[in-house]
Amino acid sequence: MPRPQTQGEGGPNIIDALLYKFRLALMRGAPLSDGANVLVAVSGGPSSCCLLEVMKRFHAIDPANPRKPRKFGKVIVCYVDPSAVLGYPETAGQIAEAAAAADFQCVTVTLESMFLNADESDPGVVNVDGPSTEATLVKSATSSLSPNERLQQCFQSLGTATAKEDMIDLLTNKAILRAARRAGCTLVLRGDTSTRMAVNTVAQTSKGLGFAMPTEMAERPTWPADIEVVRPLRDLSAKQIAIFNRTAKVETFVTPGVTTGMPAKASIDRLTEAFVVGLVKDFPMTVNTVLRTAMKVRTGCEEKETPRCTFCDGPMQEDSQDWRTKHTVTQLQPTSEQDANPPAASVLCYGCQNLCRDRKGALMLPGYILPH
Amino acid sequence: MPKLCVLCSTERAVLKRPKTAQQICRTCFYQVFETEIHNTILDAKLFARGDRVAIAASGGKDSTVLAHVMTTLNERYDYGLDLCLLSVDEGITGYRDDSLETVKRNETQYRIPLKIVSYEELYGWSMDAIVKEIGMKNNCTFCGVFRRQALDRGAALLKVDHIVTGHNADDIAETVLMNIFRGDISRLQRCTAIRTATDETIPRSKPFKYTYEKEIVMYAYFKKLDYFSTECIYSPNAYRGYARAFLKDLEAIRPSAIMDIIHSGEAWQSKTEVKINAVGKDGKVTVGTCERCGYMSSQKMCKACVLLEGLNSGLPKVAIGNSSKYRQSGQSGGRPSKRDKNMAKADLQDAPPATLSPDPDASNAVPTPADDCPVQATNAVELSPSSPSPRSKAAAAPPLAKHLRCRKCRTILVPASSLTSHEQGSGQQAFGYRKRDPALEIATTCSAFHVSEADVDWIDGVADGSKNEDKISCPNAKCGTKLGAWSWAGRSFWKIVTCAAPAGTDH
Repeated sequence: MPRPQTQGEGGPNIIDALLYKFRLALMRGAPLSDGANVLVAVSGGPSSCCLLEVMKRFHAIDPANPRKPRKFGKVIVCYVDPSAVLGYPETAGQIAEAAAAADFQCVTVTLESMFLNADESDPGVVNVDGPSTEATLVKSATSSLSPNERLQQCFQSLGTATAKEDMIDLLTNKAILRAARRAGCTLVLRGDTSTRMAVNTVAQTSKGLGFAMPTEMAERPTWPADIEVVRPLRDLSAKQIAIFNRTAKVETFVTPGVTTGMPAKASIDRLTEAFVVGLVKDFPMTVNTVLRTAMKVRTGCEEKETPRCTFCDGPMQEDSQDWRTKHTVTQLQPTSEQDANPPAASVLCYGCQNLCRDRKGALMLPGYILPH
Repeated sequence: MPKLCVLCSTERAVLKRPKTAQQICRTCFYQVFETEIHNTILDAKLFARGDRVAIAASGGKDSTVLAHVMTTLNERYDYGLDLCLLSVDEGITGYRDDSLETVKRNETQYRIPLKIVSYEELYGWSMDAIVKEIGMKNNCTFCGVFRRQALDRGAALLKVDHIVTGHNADDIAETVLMNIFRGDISRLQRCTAIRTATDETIPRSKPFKYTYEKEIVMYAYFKKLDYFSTECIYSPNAYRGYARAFLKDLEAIRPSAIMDIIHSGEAWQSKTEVKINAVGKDGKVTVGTCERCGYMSSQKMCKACVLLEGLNSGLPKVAIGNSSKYRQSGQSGGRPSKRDKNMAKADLQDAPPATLSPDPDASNAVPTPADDCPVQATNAVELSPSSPSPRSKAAAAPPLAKHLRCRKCRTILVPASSLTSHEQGSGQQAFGYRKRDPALEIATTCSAFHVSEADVDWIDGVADGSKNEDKISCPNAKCGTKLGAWSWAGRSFWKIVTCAAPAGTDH
C-alpha cells in the first residue's frame, strides 16, 4: 500500500491520506474477517458520516480490477434511534437515505426496544429502589407499560445529565451489538475518532470504570466473544475528520444530545470534552499521549472468568461494593435485616451502580438484568 | 423545623458531607470520618503492634488533622503504636518558621515527641540560600527532592518503622489524572498504592488516601485544630493547576468522582513490587543505591546529590532531565572540559563581549572580511563558564577554559579565547536623516561571534572555501543540532542577523 503524499490542505490528498489511515487501522483491527458481514454504526454525527463515506469508497469495486474480491460481504448501516427521549425523529429517515445513496442496507433500532428481549418477548421490568447506598432490585415479570413508556420513566428518574448521557450510551451500545447479532454480522465498525477516545478515556476514569479500560481501548477487543468491534478512525483526530467532511462534501445530520448547548459543567462527559479540547489547544499531543497511556494499562478484565455486569455486559470487579462501603461510610450501624430482594451491587458493575445512585425515586430497568 | 441528621436522626444536621452529600450532625461526621480512616488502616494492614510511627508534620491542615486522628485512633482502637512527629525545616523565612511554631504547639497538645530536621544541617543549604543562588524559578525541584530524602533521614535518626504522610484523596486523584495526561504509565501504576515500600527503605503510607480535602478542612474547623494555612512563598503552584481545576469541576458535578478516579487507578495498579538492585522488568523502574550517600536511586547518583553538587560548585543545573550524559562524561574524567557538568544557562546574546576575554590584539579592531567569520548563534550555542563560584564548597577543580559549546550535547565548538570583538557601527544612524530606512533599524546590538577561520574549519564549506555563508549544525554526528548561521562578513551586518535569527528572538 503506497503511502499517499499530503501536501497542503484541502486537496484530494487529504482524502487519500485519511483513506490510507482508515485502511491501516481496519487491517490491524480485523485482519481475519475477510468476507464477513459488517455492521457500520452511524449516528449522523461528523465522524460516523465520515465512516459511512469512507466505507462506501472502501467497499466500491476497483475500476482497474473489477474481478478483485472485496474484503467484506454485506455492509449494513445501523442507526440507533433515540428519538423517544431526545426528539428529532427525522434523523432516521435522513440516515436511511444516506445509506441508500451509498448502496448499503440500513437498519434502524429504537432505543426503547432495549427494554424487550432480543426475540422481542417481554422480560418484565426491574425497579432499582431503596436508599441510594443500599439499592435493591425488585423484579416484576409483567408490566402494563409499553417499551416507550418504560424508557421515558427510566429517563425521568435519572436526576443528572451525566446519568442520562450514560444511559443513552449504554443502551445504544447494547442496541448496536444486538442489531449485529440479528443481521448476522461478525464485525462492527464504530466511528470513534482519537479525540473522542481520549475524552472517553478520561471520562471513564472519572466514573470509576478504569477496570474496563483495556476492553475499551484494545485495537482488537477480545470481548464480546462473538462480535469484533473495531474503530477504524482511531488514528484520526476530530479536526482531520472535519477537514475530510468538508473536502469530500459529506453531509452530516446532527442530533442534539442531552448536554448540547449547555455549559461545560453540565455533565462529566461534557466537562471532560471541554477540558481535553482546551488542553489540545495548548498541548497538541495530549490526545495521543492519553491514548497511548490508556492502551498500556492492564487490569485482567479480559479474562474469561471475570464476572459480567448484567446490564452493560462490562467486566465486574469482585470486591468493588465492599471497597465502597468501607471507604465511604454512609451508615453508622450496618443494617442487619436481610432484604429478600437482591442488592444492586450483586449484578451491576461499579459504573452501573454509579448510574443507579444518580436516580431520584425508583429507576426502571429492563427485566433481563435479573436472570431467572 | 430544623433538619435532622440522616445518620442518627436525633441531632440537628449542621453540615452537608462533601463525599456523600448527606446532611449530618457534628458527632456523626467525626465518627464516619474517623471510621473511614480506621478502615483504611485496617484494610491495608499498615501497622503492626508496637511499631514506632513518624507522622510527617508540616503544620498545615492535612498533617495537623493526621496527627490528631492518629493519636485519637491509636487510643480508641488500641493500635499500640509509638507515635512521634517529624518535621522538615526547609529554611523558608515567613513560611516554614511560622508553620513550625504550629507543629511545636501540636507537640504539646498531643503529647508526642517532635523531631525537626533542617536542610541546613543535612545539606548545608537552606531554601532561602538556594533561592538566592538560583532565583525564583525551578526552586521547587530542589525543595521536593531534598524533602523526600530529609524525611527518610529524619526517620532513620528517630529509628521509626513507618512514616505516615497527609496526602489526601484529592491529591491522589489529581496525580492519577496528571499521569494520564503526561503518559507516565509506570507512575500511573504506582501512584495509587497506599504504601510505598522497598526492602531497604522505611515504608511510607497515606492513611488519608480516601479522605476528601474538603472534609479534612471541615474536621479541622469543627475540632478547632491549630493549623497554619498559607502558600509557600516560593511556590507558584502552576504545574498541577490544570488537573486540580478539572478535578474540582468533576467533584462539583458528582461528589463521588474523586473516589471513582481512585477506584479506576487502583484497577491499574501493577502487582509486582519494586525491589532494590533488581533487574527491571516490563518497563518497571529498577532501584539501586546512590554511590555517594547510599540513598535509593535509579541512577548512579541520587537526584539530591546531583543537585547538591551543582549548588556546591556554584553552577546549579536547575531542571530535572536526562542527566545521565553528564554523569557518564564525569566518570570518564579524561577531558577537563567534559567534567564541567553544571552549565549556567548563559545565552550568548546576553553575554557582553567584554566578559569573553577577547584576544587583546583583535579587540577594538573592526574585523576584516578575510579573517573573521561572524557566527550568529541561536540559543543552541552557549558559553560555558568554568571557574567555580565563590560559594564553592567542593574541592577546587582545576580552572577550565571557556568555550562555546553546543547547548544540546555540550560539544566544544570554539574556545572563547579565540573570539574577537569589534566596535559596532552605528547602523542607520550613520546615514543622513532622510536616507535612513526605518525598516532596517532592527538590530541594535551585534549578537554575532567573530572568530577566525582556523577555529571553525569544522564547519562544512569553511576549510575548502566552497561556501561563503551557510547554516551551522553541531559537529557531533550524534547530535547535529542546528546552531545558527555563518557568513564571511562580505555581507552587511544586519542581513546576517535577520537571516539567521530564529523566530522569537527580539531584534
